[in-house]
Amino acid sequence: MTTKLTPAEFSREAGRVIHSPYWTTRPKTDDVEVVIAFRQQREREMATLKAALNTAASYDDLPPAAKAIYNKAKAAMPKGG
Amino acid sequence: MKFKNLLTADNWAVAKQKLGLPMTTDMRGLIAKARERGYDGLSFKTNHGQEYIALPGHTSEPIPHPPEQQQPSQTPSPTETPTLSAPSKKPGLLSRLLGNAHGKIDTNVPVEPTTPQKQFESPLHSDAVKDFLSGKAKHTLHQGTNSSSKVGDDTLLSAIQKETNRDALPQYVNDATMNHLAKRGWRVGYRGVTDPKHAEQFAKGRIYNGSGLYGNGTYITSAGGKFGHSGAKREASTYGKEIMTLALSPKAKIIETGELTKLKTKFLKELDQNLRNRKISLNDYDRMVEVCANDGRFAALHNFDAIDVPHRGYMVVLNRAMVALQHEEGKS
Repeated sequence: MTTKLTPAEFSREAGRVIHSPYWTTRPKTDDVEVVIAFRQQREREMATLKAALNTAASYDDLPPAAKAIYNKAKAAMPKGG
Repeated sequence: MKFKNLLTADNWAVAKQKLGLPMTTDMRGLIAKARERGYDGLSFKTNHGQEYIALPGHTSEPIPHPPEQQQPSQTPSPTETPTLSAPSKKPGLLSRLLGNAHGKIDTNVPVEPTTPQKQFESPLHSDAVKDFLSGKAKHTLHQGTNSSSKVGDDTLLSAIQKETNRDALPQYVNDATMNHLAKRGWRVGYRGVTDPKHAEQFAKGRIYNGSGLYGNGTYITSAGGKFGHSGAKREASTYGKEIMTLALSPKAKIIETGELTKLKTKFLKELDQNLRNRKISLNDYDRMVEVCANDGRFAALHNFDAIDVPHRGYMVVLNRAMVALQHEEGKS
């Protein structure tokens, strides 16, 4: 859960989420245009999330679209540590 | 104490001349060069009379100088925990010269790194990146979900910094010098850490690049930014009670995060085009996208020393050699 984090803890977590493998783990294909389209789609998503995180002090502050991206990115991160 | 090979000069400026060093060289640079030339001691006159400095590594005699002035010849390996001895209570020669003991202003803090720094023509020219693309070097580019994860260091960024000498140690300055630097255009900021060892590591150990929303690197709250001076210190303390005061040289190449995003979009579009034109393999494309996904790495590969995040009052420092550091233990 991210809702119980302090602003500093949330900031740390968001810093990790924004660099999740989600952004670069693409479907297996050799089709160059598909690869490029995937990258550009992820870039747009990242821009949406980053804009939301710029002003959010907690997960609850994120608008629904950004929350959805945040959750997908977080789910793709390495576990544990 | 007996010296086998003592370098004697009228004053420390003459000592620098004798070693062929520029006048901007600080005491650390002077000592390093003297040691390199095989001297086991330095002697010159100061206001306190004739003074002697024993150079560690060339004598088995006790060294009567504060440990904070002795540069380690090697940074610790990733598995080693950097440790420091407690500072001497009696100020030694170096402390007096540099003013660390009496709050004397050191006017010789160089605005540019004393070691030359490599500039990349393009990110693909970085040896660290080439090694990563070829599989010669392995790096973990993503961190775990656990905020206390030990897998926190961006080792590729560290390799880039090492390649360019941006991992060189910061200048260590006192309170008065820090105030002096602020008036001379240095950008002062604060960093809060939970463990004093982290502050020590930044000062003297292997560089550690933590994660953050605006890219990996060393985060500081900017004293001249939205928080103001005391607010920046307070904000830093929310990340840890051990507060470090840092200043970034006026010569540092700094980019605002918004401009960096634009630069990255442009770079990635060019990369797309290179893939279409088969100037880059699909594998290299994937890996370059991964490398550039992090703003810290991307900025470092474009020769930036820091990323400015003005709307948040942060700076992400990427070049430790451009930093002056004052450490205030236990203060917030």
